[in-house]
Amino acid sequence: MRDQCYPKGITRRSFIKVGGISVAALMAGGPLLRSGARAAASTDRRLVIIELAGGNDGLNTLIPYSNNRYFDARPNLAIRDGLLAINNEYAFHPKLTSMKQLYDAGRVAAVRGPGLVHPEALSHFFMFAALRSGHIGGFTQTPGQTGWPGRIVDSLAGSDDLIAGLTLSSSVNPAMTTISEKSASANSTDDGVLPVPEAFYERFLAAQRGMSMLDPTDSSSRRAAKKGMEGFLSLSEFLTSIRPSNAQYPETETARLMAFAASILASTDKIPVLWLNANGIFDTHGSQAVYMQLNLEELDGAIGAFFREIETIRLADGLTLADKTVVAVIAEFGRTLAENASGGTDHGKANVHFVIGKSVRGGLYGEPPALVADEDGSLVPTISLFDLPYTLAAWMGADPDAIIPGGGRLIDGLFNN
Amino acid sequence: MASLDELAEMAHLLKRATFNVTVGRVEEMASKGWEAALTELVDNARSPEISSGPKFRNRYSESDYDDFLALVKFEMNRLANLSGEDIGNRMLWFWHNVLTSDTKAPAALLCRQHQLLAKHALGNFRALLKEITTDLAMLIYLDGWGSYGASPNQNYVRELMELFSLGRGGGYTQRDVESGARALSGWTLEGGNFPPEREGEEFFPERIRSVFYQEAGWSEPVTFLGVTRVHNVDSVIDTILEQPACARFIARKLFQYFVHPSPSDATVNSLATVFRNSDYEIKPLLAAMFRHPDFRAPQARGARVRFPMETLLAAAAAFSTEIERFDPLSYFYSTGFLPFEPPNVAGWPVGARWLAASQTGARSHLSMLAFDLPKKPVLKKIFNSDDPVGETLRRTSLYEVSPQTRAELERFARSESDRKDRARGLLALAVTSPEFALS
Repeated sequence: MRDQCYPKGITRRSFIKVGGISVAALMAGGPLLRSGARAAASTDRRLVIIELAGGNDGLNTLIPYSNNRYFDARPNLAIRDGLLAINNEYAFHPKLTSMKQLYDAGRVAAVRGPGLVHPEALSHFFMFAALRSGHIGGFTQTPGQTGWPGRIVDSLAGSDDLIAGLTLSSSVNPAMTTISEKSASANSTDDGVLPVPEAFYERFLAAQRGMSMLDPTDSSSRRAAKKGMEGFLSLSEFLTSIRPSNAQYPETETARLMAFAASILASTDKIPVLWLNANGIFDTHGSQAVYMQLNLEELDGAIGAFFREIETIRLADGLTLADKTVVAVIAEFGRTLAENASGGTDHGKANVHFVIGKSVRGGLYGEPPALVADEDGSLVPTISLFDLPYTLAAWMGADPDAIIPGGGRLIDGLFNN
Repeated sequence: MASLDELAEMAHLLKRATFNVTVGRVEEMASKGWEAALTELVDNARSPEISSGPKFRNRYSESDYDDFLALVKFEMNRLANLSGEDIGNRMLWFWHNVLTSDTKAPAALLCRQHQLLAKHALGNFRALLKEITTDLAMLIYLDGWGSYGASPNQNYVRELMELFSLGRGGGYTQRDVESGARALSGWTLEGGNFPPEREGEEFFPERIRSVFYQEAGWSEPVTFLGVTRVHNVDSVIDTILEQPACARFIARKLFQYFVHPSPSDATVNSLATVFRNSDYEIKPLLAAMFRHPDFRAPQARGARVRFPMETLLAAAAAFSTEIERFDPLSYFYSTGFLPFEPPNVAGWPVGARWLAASQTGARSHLSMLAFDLPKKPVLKKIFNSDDPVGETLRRTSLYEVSPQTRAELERFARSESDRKDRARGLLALAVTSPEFALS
């Protein structure tokens, strides 16, 4: 299991012809963001979810450096040098320098021990389904096969908003599936401009708009294809209008996505939920030390630059974007306590998740899992995988019991407000 | 003369069984009839032989994608210029979607794996699973190399059962993952200066081989899926293939890939029986699937979502143009679909994912090549036709479109008096149409 890692330098722009005209300028009808008010549930808060797909090793991310069991279990993989201690028990991985600064400023909550106990809890795909759907039974158990962030979108979207949730990728993450169909996806290289020759432009888009209209005879596949086309036309208009970021970000894929996230959030208050997958190889069955350094350096640089930028983005009410935005960092599962012979770790259960933002009351949450392997070589979870999504849903102003239908518990004191 | 419905039905078969439905082929096959077409396309098919590959640099460098990009280009050019071997190549890419690997392995080894999958594409699943287990790229991708019996790596054997053969709920437990990992330990790669010690140093893929060291493996009996013995690759695969879940799992995957995402249990079971009874020969299973009433049912037409790779090949066939002119890599990047680089070990998901808003955008960009096409021969056929819309739909193999799509093409045709520009615009719109994303 590993995540995609694209060749650098190939972007969609490289084949966009010059001379395109703004879609917004020419498109007839169907604006993405009408001026109507958001639904009553709106709290004007924004949630950016970063998934570390593959199962990041929580134990080498938030390191229990005062516990000998940690060093005993990992003679080669235990991290001894460069630890970024946050207290006399725990340290961040040496590459998490921005996270350490944010932690010291009281803006990072580390949630210890989230996971599930289930016979299939070591399968990526069982756990993806659980983590993304917000239900242990996966997407077959949620209304409309929605995910929990998608249900937050459903509950916050105004009836006139055409898009209220975005996955920063070429396709919608299953977690962002909504019933309202207000979820879309966009690449960081999308600028919404189609390279149609000028003489055809207006007719071309009108024809696309026409082709996206539903017909009573449409099969479910054809309907989905038409909805995709409709979403594209709406999204194009929005993308031509967003304010590009001119802040400094590292030259990495995750940083490009976080810069894109900042641009989107700065351009509209109608898209309260964003989802992105961090670039990296988080399923570290082998050569973990090297992979984790690269993974966490990229993640940390992107998060640091994102918070530096959104501090400076002032909104109409005088507050900054940083006052209203929370970033959650989650993964489907953790890894084994002991290292294997390939210099890696296998699938485990308990992990650590992070929540970052000005509204967060920094510190450590959840009981730390005991450093004792269960029969699967894993740490035993101390809180449900769904407690953090439940708590985030409540903070966003949605009804947490509706967002997490199987039930969850509020993590007390995680937020200041 | 075949009726319109017979043409639509044959287009349905050709879109699933081949990569490039060229103009005229639908008519030609429809005149032969359904059963004759199945005999020609499926029963008489052979596994493709791929003996060459691009020239690789084989420099060891984490950030060097040149070899990978060369492999993608090589393969797309190969697929765009196939003569025959249609279903074998479709199956080759089906197996890529089941027995996944990615660029964690060097491109030269992915190319060798590609040749291996081609060789077995229509062969026997047992032989395929045994060979892929010690394939060089697979040993790298799922960490089989250097796995010691004393503390074995669980990655390969878990995915072997969960994703390659039995499926979740297929009757194995974490204990089987642990014993299977022991059973498959002891393998590593040797030779060819791989991996080189220094970044940028050359390695020699043709000299790399997989080797087994008994002392690094596990010589004690273990219980794997209920069978207690000293296990090895052959016995692990044979034991897996004894599980009733296996034939059902592959039959379901195949149906979901080629027909539509929700087969009935009865359909899956009937296909699984064929697969099991032929001792996992792949061609009888494929023949049974294409002859299944569910495949020929009118609801099956247009019910499948094309992978971006298929959309690209279909556009190249419709435009009768070199695939390079589309800039395949940029298209793949914007769709998030890269051949040889699946999003994860479960492969590229089938279905609605490839209909998302950004996919329409990527397809729209692809269609723009219509405005750069030379006058002959494609545009000429359209602008000399009495029915330019009908000719455009025929060229793009869209025999059944919604009233909205037809109306918009007609409207565009009426609005453009320049016959050449009319042809260009019609072709572009047909490729961006919702129907073109389906097969």
